[in-house]
Formats: sequence, structure tokens, C-alpha cells
Amino acid sequence: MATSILRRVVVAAAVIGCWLAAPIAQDLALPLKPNSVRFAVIGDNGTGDKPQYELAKQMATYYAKFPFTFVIMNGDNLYGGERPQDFVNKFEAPYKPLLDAKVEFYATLGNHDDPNQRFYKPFNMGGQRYYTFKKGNARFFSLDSNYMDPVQTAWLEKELKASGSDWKIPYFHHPLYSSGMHGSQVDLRAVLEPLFVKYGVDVVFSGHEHFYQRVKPQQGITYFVSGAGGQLRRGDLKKADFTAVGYDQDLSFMLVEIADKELTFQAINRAGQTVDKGLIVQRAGAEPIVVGGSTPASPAPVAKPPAPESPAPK
Amino acid sequence: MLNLKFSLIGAVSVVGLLLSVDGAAQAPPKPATAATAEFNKRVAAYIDVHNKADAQVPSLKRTDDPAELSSREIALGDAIRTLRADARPGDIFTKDIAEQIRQLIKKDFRNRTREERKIFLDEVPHFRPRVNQRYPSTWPLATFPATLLDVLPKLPDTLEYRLLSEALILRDVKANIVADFILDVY
Repeated sequence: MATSILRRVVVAAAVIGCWLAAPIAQDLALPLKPNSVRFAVIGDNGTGDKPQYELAKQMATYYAKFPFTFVIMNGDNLYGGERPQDFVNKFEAPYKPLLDAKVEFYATLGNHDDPNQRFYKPFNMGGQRYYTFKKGNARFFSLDSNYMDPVQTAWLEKELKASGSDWKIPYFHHPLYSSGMHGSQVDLRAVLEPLFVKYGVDVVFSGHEHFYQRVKPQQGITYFVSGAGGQLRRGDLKKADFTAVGYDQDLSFMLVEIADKELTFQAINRAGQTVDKGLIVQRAGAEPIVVGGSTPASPAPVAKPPAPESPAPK
Repeated sequence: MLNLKFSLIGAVSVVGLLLSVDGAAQAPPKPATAATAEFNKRVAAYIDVHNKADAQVPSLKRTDDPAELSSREIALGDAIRTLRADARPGDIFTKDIAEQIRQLIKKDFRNRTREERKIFLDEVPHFRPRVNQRYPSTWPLATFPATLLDVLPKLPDTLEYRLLSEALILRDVKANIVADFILDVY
């Protein structure tokens, strides 16, 4: 009897041991189509602490399989001090392999960032608090959501209107939809969302909340919160009707690929596990189709129907 | 006779309408209140000081070297402090404009839901401001509510409004210093 119990304990321990020792899946869920636009997304990363370095290492590992050419930073690029050594410890050192590989970083300002970061060349802000740049068939709009004055909104409207790109992608620090500690930024939403809808924005990236969240399409727009690039607020995701997928158990970053009318995304944690993945397909004169969704808790991808909320005038 | 009267009335109305439309199109912008006009004058005077200080330090260029950014910001702040060594609270925010702004913020805050107030006060720093002080890098720059910015007097790029726990400050963006402040704004 005792032998039997002992054998079961040993077998159970062995199984658990094997499970713990098993290599963690690092599957790429992106199609790697020729001439596609490939980038990564991080937010709230600039702590200079070990977890930021570990996630940065994971980004470099994925870079080998998915050679993205640039990274968009959703703000809080440097927490705390902004002395010269802070730029090194919180940015240059953790992302050295990517910087050495000539991956470009395009920063946006968070509420912990000194606006003078815009003069720091490796952040590619061109000396501006808000700016735009184009990659392939996508145009990116880096906004300063800390200070959305009428001058900036007028600039955004002019740039959105002038953009002939297939994909218009604004990114900024404060999320318009979020179920975390800070909550949805309703002031900003009142100012920005009408412009996004009017000019056919499909995808928006933000940070500020220290987790990952994908929001069900709102008026045809898919909002991502990717703010766990260095900071984590474990268990902070509250239940919200607008959440498609959320993950608040570890740090995370995103990989994104745009090929013609398809945008494929994958969110990855520090262990290299995929916490969400999916596809957004643009459709002329209609809301995009969004398919995807998997977390370690619910690993099977679940097809999501197009936005049920509203018949958006896109 | 009656026809002539109606014709005259009609003609006068049409001319009046045309004049009013034309007048509306060319109407000068609403005159600023005396308090706003005085505030704008003082802001312009501050910008003159800022520009003088700016000319005394090496020009700000895009750089790979963060030490340049930091030393430039400190040098500019020091130069401004020297040029306005006698600056006092209220030098830019006169009593009248301070009261107007205070009322605008209080009204905005009152009209917010509990959830919106929480967002309004999210990560607002808790330090007592002083004129010419360097904004402490240990505190975040609280996000300024976009809809409130719409109703406050407009500022040049060099300056911005920021909220603290009990105050509104006027912050010099490039020098990272507090140019002036208003207390008791909620």
C-alpha cells in the first residue's frame, strides 16, 4: 500500500517536473507575408528593472523569427528620474539587441515622461510632442494624450484627412476604453473618437494600464491596451462588457503584421506564451472583421463577430 | 402705393440681410475680457524672458546623448530663474484671471460624474508649488482633461497648464519649471 502511494507520488512529481521543465511554446502566429509591415508594440516599459529586461529578451527571441523593423512605444518610456544613466538603464540596455539590429523605436509621451524626450534621437519623435510617419500602407499617428489641446486635435484632423493610407493607426498613452485601475479616458474619447470614426481609423494602441486588453470593436475600431512592457498590475482587469480578451498575469508585448487589407496580431508574455492572437480584415464600406482571441485560460481561438455595438458610418 | 411700400420694405430687408451675413462673416473675434487680455500680456512678457534665456544656452537639437538634453534643460531653467529672480506668485496669473480660471475648473469638476472625477484626479501630484521651482521628476505630469483645455485661455507652445492636488500650475515645457500657479482650484 505504502509502496503504491509512494509510486503515485513519484509519478505525479515526475509529471509535474516534466511539465515545469517543458520548453515553453514560442509559436509565431503571424503569416510573415512578403513585403508586409512588421512591428512590435510596448507600453509602460521604462522601469529599468529585471522584468523589463526579461520581456525585452523575449522580444529579441521573437525578433529572430519575426524580424520586425520598428517598435511603437505607448508611453511611460522612462519612469522616475530622467538622468543620462536612466536613458541607458531603462531603454538603451534592455533593447540593445534590437537597437543593434537597427530596429527603430517610435515613442509617444506618457504621464511619466518629460516632454523633452522628444529631442532624444532614438525615440524618433523629430522634436515633436505629436507626429506622424508612414510604413508601407500604414500611417501612424503618435499623439500626446497628456495634453490634447485644440491645436493638436486640429493637427490630427488635418493629418487624418490628408492620409491616403489603407491603415490609419493612432497610438497614445491613455486608453479610450479600459477596465483597469485608471479606467476609460472619457474626456479624451469625447475629443478623439469622433475623428477616428470620421476618418476611418481601424486600430488604436494605448498603454497606461499595466496589462494587456483587446476591446471589442467600438464603432468599428479595435482598441488595444498594451501597457505591461515593464510594469504589471496583476489582477487589475475588471469585468467589462467591452472586453474581447484581457491578460493581467504577466508582462506582455505585441507583434503586428500588416499585409494589404489584413492586420494580424499576437500578444506574448514574458515566458513567450501567446496570450492573444487574431486577425483584423478591412472591408470597403463596412466595419472590419475581427477574428481571434486566446489566453492561457481559454486557449482555443474563438471567432468574434463584427462589432455588435453600432452601425458605424465608416 | 402699397406695392411701393412693400417693395421698399423688401429691398431694405434684403440689404439688411446681406449686410448682416457679410457682417457675420467678417466679424472680429470676440474681444477678450480685460482679465484675459492682461493675462495674455503677461504670458507674452514671460515668453520674452524665456527667449532671452534660451539665447544664452546652447540651442536644443535632436541628440543621441541624453546628457545634452538634461544639461540643457537645467541650464535654461537656471537662466530663467536668474532673469526673473524677483518673480512672485500672481505675476502671470493676476487675481482676476486666477479667479476666472478657478471658477471654470470648479464648474467643470462639479459637472463630472464620480467616475469622471476619479479620472480627473488620477495620478495628480501632491506637492506645493513654488514659482521658478524645477518640476520634480519624481512626480508624473498629470494628464490635463482635454475638454477643460478647450475653455481655458490659449497658451503658446512654450507653456502649458498642469494640475496638482490643490493647484493649477503654468509650466515652462522646455525649462521644466513652474512659471506661476493658482491655489484652491477644485
